[in-house]
Amino acid sequence: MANRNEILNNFINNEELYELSGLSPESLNDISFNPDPAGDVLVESLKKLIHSYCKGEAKITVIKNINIEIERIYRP
Amino acid sequence: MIINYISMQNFQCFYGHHESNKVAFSDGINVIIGDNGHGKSKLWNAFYWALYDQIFDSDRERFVTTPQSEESIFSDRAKKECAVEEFVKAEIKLEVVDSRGERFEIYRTLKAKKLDDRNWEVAPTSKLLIRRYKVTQWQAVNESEHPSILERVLPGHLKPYMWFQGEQVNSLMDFQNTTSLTQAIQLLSDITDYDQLVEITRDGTHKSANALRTEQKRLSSDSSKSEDIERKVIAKQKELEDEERDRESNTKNKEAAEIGFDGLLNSISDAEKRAENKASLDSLTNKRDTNVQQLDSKIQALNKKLFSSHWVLKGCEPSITDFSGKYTKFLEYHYQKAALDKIAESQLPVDVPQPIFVNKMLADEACFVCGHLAPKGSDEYKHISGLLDRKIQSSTTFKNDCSSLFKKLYDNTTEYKNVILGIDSSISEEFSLMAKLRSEISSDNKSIEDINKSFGELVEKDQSENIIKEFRRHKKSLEDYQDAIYVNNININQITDELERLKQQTEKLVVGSPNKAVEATADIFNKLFELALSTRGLVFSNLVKDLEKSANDIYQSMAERNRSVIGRLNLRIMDSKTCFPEIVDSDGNSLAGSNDSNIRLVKLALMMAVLKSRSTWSQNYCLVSDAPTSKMSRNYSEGFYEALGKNFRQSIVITFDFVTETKKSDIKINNLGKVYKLNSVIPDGDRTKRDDLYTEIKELDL
Repeated sequence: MANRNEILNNFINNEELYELSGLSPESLNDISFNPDPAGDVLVESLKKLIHSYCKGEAKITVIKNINIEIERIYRP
Repeated sequence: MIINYISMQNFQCFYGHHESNKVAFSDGINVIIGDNGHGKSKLWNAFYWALYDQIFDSDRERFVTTPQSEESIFSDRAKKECAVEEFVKAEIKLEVVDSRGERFEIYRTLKAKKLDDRNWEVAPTSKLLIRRYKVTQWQAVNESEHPSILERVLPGHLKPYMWFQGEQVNSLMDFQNTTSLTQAIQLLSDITDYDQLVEITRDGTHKSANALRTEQKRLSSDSSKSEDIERKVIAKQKELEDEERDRESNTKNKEAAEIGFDGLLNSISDAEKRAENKASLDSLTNKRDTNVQQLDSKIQALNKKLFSSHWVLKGCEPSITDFSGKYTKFLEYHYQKAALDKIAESQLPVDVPQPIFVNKMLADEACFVCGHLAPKGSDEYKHISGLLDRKIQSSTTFKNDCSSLFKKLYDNTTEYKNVILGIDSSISEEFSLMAKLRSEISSDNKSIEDINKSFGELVEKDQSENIIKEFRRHKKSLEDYQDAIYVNNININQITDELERLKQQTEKLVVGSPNKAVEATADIFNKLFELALSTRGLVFSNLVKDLEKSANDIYQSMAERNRSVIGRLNLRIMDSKTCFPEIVDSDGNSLAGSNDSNIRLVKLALMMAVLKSRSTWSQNYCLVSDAPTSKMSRNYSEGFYEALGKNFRQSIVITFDFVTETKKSDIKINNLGKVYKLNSVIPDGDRTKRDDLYTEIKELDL
């Protein structure tokens, strides 16, 4: 399995991320797997996706973890 | 892992104990040289058997397991020397070292009991023993650890590309198969991780969309209408999936047709020219053959023509004229003679007077006709006596009358006179026809020779018609699949629009605010899916680009010793995210007709590049190959060894190359490790006595 940082880097270097998130490349310069409570929901979900997948978790668990992350962000 | 040494005991042609059959290796290219039949493939089998419990059965041309191999694992000589009721043991010992310097000994053993001179009881399975070197001594490793240690010697996914026989290269890197390289990339790279991420996000998208619809249904002002919309959405989604599947299949087929089409593109114009020439050649050959047949039959018919066309009478005119003159004279004489005969017919008949009266007249010595006396001895008496000697004369004038024969001859000559007069022109006409045929044959032969000369052997082995047929087939398929994909896209757009319309209808029925998190989840998964898909595409594209560069570097380095090599490797990324290798010229046009050695070299370069894409592989594992250069000339082989030395820390090549060298220094390869020569020996020289055979393993000195 690939290194999670390498995978994250490949996603961050994809211009489509900026189009979909509306973020600038500079804002993602120092991105890490540490949770960022004020972070963009798409970027945080992406981090969760990669982190969970690289831990070897099952597909259903990965999806569930992303759901939880999004719910956390949208929790009133 | 790196291999320190291998040793064999009574394994196949390696008779005797481990000490006499040991091959130690160093870093660099270790070369095992051997002539045909001197144990090279058996050494390859030794490696394979030790790790995978299989050997390559050359009779059956496939790998067989130990139970299938029966007693062929054992040395014939060891079997011969084994006493009845005793055991013979075949064993391989392999010492390997991992990247942390940890050493392992791997033993594979098989025993068999001799029941009698012909029958053996072979153990049902071989035994595997692995020992680890700990501090100062070897310790047996628990059996449960065996699979993981063997996997560390050579990971399963690397095995086809790092331990291979020359013949396997073609199937490992099949340039006709659109998925061959893609499979290698998938096996040897991280791209499958990205595929997995695409799958996860696709699944998440479906699940979150369903969750959103459920939420919207819960808040619907018209639940029955929402239910109805839901059913339509499910049906449309199914339709969309089918259409997408269909498009995917059409895309794959289109790519296959495209590869076939492009591959033939360069050949087609030549092929068309060749086909035209082939047609001319066929027509010329047919015409020439017909003319040759005509000429032959004319020559054969010349004998007959002597008679059937009366040529045999050529030059007879003077004889006929002469004959005609003579015949006229003959006729005149004949008529004269016949007229005289008629006059003669008026004289007395020959028997008047009759002899009885003649005798009476002689007795009376008097003529009864005139009444004169004819005394005996007188002239009168003599005259009468002479009448007795008269002979009866023929009543015909001509004793042998040939007049009818002469007449027939004359009539015939008259009849043939005109024919004979025409013989010269008939002969001349026939010979001029033959001359014309000869001239046409000669001219056709010249044209045929010209065509053959310009196409060399090509016409004989000509595949032009097949190429054109194949080209048209690919072209037609390509157009058909392009049309089908066009229709798929229209349908997909329509279904997507319809789904969007249904989505809006559902939203309109919603009363109140749906759960924000549910809405956001659907949106985020959608975006994650798009992102995963495009990132996978980027990673794959970069991977292929790096691979292409690396393979071309290796290829150029391999090919630099051979001036005839042209072209470079191009890895074409297809619509369906697969990758197809092709050899192209400097303008990117596909190069057809590369020779076998060159293709093998390109494939090996590609394999090395794939393996090199992870530096740890080429540094931590040993590449073992049996006859990788079997189809290559010396220059190509040297190029291969050069690249191998540059790109792999350790390799073991079992080869026929350098078989004539007697010293290591004769082998001009950089990064050369140890060099051994295998020599099978039968003491009394009779090579049919396989049960006396043993194999000498001799290390070549500098």
